[in-house]
Amino acid sequence: MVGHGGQSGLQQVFGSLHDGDASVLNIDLEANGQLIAQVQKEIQRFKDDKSIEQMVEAENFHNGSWTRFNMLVVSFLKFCRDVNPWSVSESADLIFELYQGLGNCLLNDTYPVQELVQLYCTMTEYVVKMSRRLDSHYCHLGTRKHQFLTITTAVISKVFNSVKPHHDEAFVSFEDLSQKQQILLYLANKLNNCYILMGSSSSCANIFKNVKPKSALSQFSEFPLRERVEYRYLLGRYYLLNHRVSNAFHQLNSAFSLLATQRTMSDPLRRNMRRVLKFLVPASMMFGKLPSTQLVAEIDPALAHMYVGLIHAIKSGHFDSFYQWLYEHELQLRSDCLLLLLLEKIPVLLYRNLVRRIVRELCIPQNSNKLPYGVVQNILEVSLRRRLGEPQLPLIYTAVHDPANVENVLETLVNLTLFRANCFPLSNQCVFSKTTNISSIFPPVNEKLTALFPLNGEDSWLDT
Amino acid sequence: MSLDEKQRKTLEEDDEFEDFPVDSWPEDETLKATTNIQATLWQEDWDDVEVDDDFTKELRKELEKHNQQ
Amino acid sequence: PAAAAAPPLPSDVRPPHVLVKTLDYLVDNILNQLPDCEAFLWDRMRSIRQDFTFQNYSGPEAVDCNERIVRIHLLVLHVMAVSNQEYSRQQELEQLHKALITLSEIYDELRNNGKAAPNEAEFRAYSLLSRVRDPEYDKMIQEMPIEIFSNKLVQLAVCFRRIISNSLFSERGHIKTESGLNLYLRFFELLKSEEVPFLMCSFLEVYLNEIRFYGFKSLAHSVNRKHKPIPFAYVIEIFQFNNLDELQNFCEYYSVETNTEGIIITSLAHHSHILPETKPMKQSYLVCVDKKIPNGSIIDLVNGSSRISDGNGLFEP
Repeated sequence: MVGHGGQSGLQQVFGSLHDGDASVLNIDLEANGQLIAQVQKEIQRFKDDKSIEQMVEAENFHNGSWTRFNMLVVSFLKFCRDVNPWSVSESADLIFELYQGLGNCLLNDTYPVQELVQLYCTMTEYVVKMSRRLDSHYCHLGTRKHQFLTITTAVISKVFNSVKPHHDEAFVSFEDLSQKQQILLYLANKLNNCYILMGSSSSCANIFKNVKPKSALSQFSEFPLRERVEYRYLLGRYYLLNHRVSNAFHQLNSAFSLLATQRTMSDPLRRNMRRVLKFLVPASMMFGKLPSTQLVAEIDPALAHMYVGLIHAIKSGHFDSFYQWLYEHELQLRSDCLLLLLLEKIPVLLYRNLVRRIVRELCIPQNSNKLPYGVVQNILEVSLRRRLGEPQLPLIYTAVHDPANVENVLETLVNLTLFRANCFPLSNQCVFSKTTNISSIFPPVNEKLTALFPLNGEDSWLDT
Repeated sequence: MSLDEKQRKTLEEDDEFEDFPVDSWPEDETLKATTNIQATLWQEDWDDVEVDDDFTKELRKELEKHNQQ
Repeated sequence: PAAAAAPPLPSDVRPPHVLVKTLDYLVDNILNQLPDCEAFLWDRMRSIRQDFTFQNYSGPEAVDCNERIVRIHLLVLHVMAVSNQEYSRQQELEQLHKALITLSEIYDELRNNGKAAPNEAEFRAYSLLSRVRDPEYDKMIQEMPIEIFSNKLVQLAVCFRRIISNSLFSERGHIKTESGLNLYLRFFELLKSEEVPFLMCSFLEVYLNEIRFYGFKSLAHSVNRKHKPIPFAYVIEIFQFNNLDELQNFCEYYSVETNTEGIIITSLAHHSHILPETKPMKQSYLVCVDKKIPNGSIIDLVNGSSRISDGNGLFEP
């Protein structure tokens, strides 16, 4: 029953706490199991909670002024006493009580909370993983969907909210920040990861809005790289979920750039790059940029392979292969929440490229600046025509686009300034300026999209 | 849990960022500088890439008809 | 009872089977008195929903009643648009939306318990149309099992959301997003077609005014500034106005100039279909939709073919 340096487990716990080292309170059995087992044996002799409380009080931590700290130590000892090392779900109540107690300790900055920040992060990692594991068995456990993760995010968001907003005092550098200020972005990322998982993107919005006012740094780039990358990755995904393509592209592309500032391609780095590319590649295409499949393949061959078909369909303006591609990847695109987004945002680009081909190959050689609706309608029929022998596709692929929409299609292209022309609905044609320079009639898509759908000004801080 | 849901679960878990060793390096030693990642990840745009496929052949045939009119 | 009133005594709350009977009575005996009974129906249906809420009940009777209440609201929307009687469209829509939210919650709960309700897909489709520009709903439907996602009504609702995705749309609190198409011609085409059943058409008529407004705007922005007037007959045809009067009212409401030759489309200056401090324009309707009201009884239309509370219970998917 004797631990390090001849101390008992309890002595070791109390001694470390007096020295300001809270890592002894870690409940992860893998990291701290030996000490916990030792304390478990020693604490059996305490018959009731009251006597444990009295023992902790007698230690006179922080001169007995910090009640929540004492409560935390008590719940740790109760955890040691009652934990069932073979069943996480049986110990969940104990763990949440401890985790909530720890969160409560961090709320009031007048106490020496810095001692607990590291432990809080360690515990958060543990509790989030545990909650996700428990939630994945919610049917079996008879709990609500995301019940455990909901409890966890409630604790994290309390701590996040308790990070004092930045007032007028001079900005400081990251190293000079209080421990709690240092984990601001960490907390934001933890919360947003959980919220995205729980499908609550409105909660994400609230976090993204509050990071800047809470930060005591003048420049975002002073936060650790790891956290900046993740923050932009999550923000990019949030924008994608809200169909805001330009903003999503900007954030995801920045996240990717940050990852590329590393020197060696480690496995976790490569996997993170894949995570970004999974959303960056579709975002870039909706934004009118074409990813190099060769380069994507260096990081994620499967992803590059997957998008070859879509790139080809967009380049050629071929609706049927676009639909075929979506249909073939429907299951995966649905689970990534990309199917309906692509279905909504890509067609304009297909139309633009198709009309551009007509102008380039028919109008310009004829030295004509008129595009009859009938020609576009006819070409659309070809583009939409189902390949011979292919089975009928579901309605979402067949009921929206139709050659008869030609008038509306051209109006939309003109209104989005993707086709510089005027419509003449009564004479059924578009008229554009006489030129052989096709890019003056069809300007680069991404430039036009950024002009019409500007980046969110609130994010400009992230570029500092 | 249905097959759909199971697949979704693993995909979602896979989406979460993981820790990676970070250090700062001289600008010219980063992946950005030593490989062509990023610099050429985006081809300028897709306008002048020639496509040659069955659809293009059909398209040309149709355009030819209009050309003769 | 009013929102601020104290909750009713337990003895005043009707049990589920009585609520079903109450709704049966409304469907069998009151529904045929539309449009006169609109306010009465609205009030009784609200109180049925409230009684379920008070007892926190979400069994089959609650599903049945909420489903039929949604269908009645959808029917009422069209009937009132055709009639000249005063009614609060906003209140109809509010109750309709609330009933849809209740249903979604119950369906979610059933799914979590490994069960499914027979009519879920139909009402998920209506949900997609009730917040037609909210991306959350796209997320929701993509996460549904394939038997819901591939349902015809759901697929149609998904299509309509793309057809009117329109990047010019402008309303307080709405953030414009990229590359939205404005396929108003397709919207009218589909409403005319056999593919889209009456109740869904009736719901989509709610958007008629804005579809026309942004259609006008689409034309106004894409034609030459000096474009000659567009003949009335042409505009009536493509925007499916019921008559010249209706078109002229529309132009007047949105300050679109007209002359003897037709409409001076480029004079449309408003950016949003909602005019500040102006009473909203009365909702219009389409003759092609009116023709879709089933010849038989509207009672069958409301009751549907599979009532969860009479034998067509929950099934395990």
